[in-house]
Amino acid sequence: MFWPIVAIVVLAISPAMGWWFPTEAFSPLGKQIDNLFYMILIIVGITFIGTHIGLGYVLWKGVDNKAPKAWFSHGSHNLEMLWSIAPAGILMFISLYQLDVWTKYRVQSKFPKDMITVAEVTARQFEWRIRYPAPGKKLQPTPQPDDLYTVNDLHVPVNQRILIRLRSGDVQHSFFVPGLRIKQDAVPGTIIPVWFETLAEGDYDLTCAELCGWGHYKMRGRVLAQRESEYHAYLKQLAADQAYDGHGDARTGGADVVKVEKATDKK
Amino acid sequence: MRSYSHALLVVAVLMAGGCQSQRAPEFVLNSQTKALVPAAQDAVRNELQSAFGTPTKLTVWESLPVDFGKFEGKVTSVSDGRAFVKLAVASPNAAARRLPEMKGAAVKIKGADSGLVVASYNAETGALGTTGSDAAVLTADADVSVIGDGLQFGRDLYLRHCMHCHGVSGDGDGPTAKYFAVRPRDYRKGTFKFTSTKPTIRPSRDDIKRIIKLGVPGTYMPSFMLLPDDEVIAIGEYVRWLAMRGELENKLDVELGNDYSPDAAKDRQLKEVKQEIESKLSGKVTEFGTELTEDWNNAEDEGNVVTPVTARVPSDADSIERGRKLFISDKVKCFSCHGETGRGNGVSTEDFNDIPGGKPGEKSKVAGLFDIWGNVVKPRDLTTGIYRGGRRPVDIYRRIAAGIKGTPMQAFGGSLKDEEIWDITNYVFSLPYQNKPAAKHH
Repeated sequence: MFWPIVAIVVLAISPAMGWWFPTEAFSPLGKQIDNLFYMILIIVGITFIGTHIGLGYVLWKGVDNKAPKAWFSHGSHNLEMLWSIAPAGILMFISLYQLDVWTKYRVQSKFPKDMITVAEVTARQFEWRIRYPAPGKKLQPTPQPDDLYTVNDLHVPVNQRILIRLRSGDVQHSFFVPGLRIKQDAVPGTIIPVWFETLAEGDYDLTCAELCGWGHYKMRGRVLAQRESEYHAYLKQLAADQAYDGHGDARTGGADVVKVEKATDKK
Repeated sequence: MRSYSHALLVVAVLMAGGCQSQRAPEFVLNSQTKALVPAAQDAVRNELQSAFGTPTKLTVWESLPVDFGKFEGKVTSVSDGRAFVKLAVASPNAAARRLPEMKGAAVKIKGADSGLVVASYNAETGALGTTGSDAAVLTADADVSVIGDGLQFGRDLYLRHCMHCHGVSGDGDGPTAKYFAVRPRDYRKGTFKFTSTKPTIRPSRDDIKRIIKLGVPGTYMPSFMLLPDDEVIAIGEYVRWLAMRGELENKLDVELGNDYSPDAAKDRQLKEVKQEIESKLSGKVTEFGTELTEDWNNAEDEGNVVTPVTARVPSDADSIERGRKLFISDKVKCFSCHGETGRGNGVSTEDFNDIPGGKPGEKSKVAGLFDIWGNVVKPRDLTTGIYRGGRRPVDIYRRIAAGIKGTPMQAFGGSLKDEEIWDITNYVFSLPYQNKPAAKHH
């Protein structure tokens, strides 16, 4: 009896203790998604415990049954109805309950109106190629001569609603940022808008979530949420690096060396 | 019944491991070496092994300009036969960081072997415990140096991140290499395409670091932007070490190639050949080592960086037009390889061209452009906006001024003025955004 009780107690307290997810969600939509997970946990938890109590009761009771003959059952219509309609009702509830989160995430007309389009992210075997517009300019659908390019390192301003345009350079990939609860497949031939908002500055892992070849496991990048001043400073630095003409700089020690910014704080 | 099920479980677990035994990684010999007579091959193999070792047991050749992970320090005090020395990493390129794992490393005093070997080292207290022939040589104020396993650190990272394409020997023929249209680099010629150095100079450490960090867009070389700096530097050191090993093999092949190819030496007595080779090679490896050291140290020389003398000419319509004229001019003939529309379909791609690295004037019997590694070269399609060696103005300037080593893209820095190179650069940058061809088709 001890372990089942421990299991139930752990199940009951795990959401409050934050044991259910590797990190908390650092985006508002991510928190709503976490709530959906918890809702499912509750429904499934109750069902699981209930059915296993029932199972345990039947096993326990059955020991005392000295009846010599088995009882032939023709089935029970009521039972069939019950265990079709009840789960159907629960599933119907879940699918309707999550509709608004899905819509906010996926239906373009319901995207926030104040989004900033930060970059076009092209997934490619086995890296994330990022194209920013020049500082002060808007991102255009086609590459512009003054666009800024980098790899695997997506900087976004914190606490703002961000839009990226997700593309694929070759096969299917998936833009997965677990800390922000974002996952969107990158489908070749499509440009998919993905929006999110980060609530805290820091470094968020970006991994590929759609098997894309031998390097899928190491297709890592990062999303760095920075305060606006640092974000704009980063873009200016990127623009300066990209316009570097090497003149007068005998050694590359400064400008030619690739620098990667450290995250300000990892929550 | 119980004992059978236990036995079955044990058998199942053992079989789950698979039947193939794990082979230790080994360096391979290049094709030129394999074309020599066996005695010569053995000689080359032995020299390489003693100078560089095996992938699992690397040999430290201190005079090479490679960061082997050296630590230096002065003995501060000696008590109870125990010496106290604070060892600090010797070079600023700190590929060396595995201080605690120096057990078994040789202790040198004033640069000479002391016969002592590290048994233990406590980085906090500085207590150095040694075993070996004469512990009494460790006196106070002695200059101590120990080579840690910094290069092994680079090797471990290389085997994890790079080996599957670039191969254990850096030959560009790892297990995944055969699936790529653009082959991974074979380091063994010491030639790297996208560098900041002059045409005859090796790549600098910064060049290698740059390629590792940024990758090579348009090829399968990924970007390792998120690896920590010290790991990237360590990998770079190991790549340079592999390149030097390959170059030593080339030099030995050149030394032995004439007299010990199968045609020249097939009927000769083995013992005689072996003795001859031995005397021919005596002292040669040291000489070659000096050449390697000079070559690779020159790469770090600031004077060998291709630096524009003038600032970039502003990219206005006039400059682009001048660049276009140069592109189609007979002086530069960019169009002959890159095509009149810049799509990489120039006439040279169908012509019989000079053999790369071969005798001047000798034409290949196969049409097309080739690099020194024997691969077909497709001149860059300049309309895609993908620039393998980097997309900064200085990168394109360097490609034009210093060429791309190992490929038919030659260095035009000698025949063009700086402003002309900038004009062509501006024209090249404009190509992805315009639809006009450089010239009308003839």
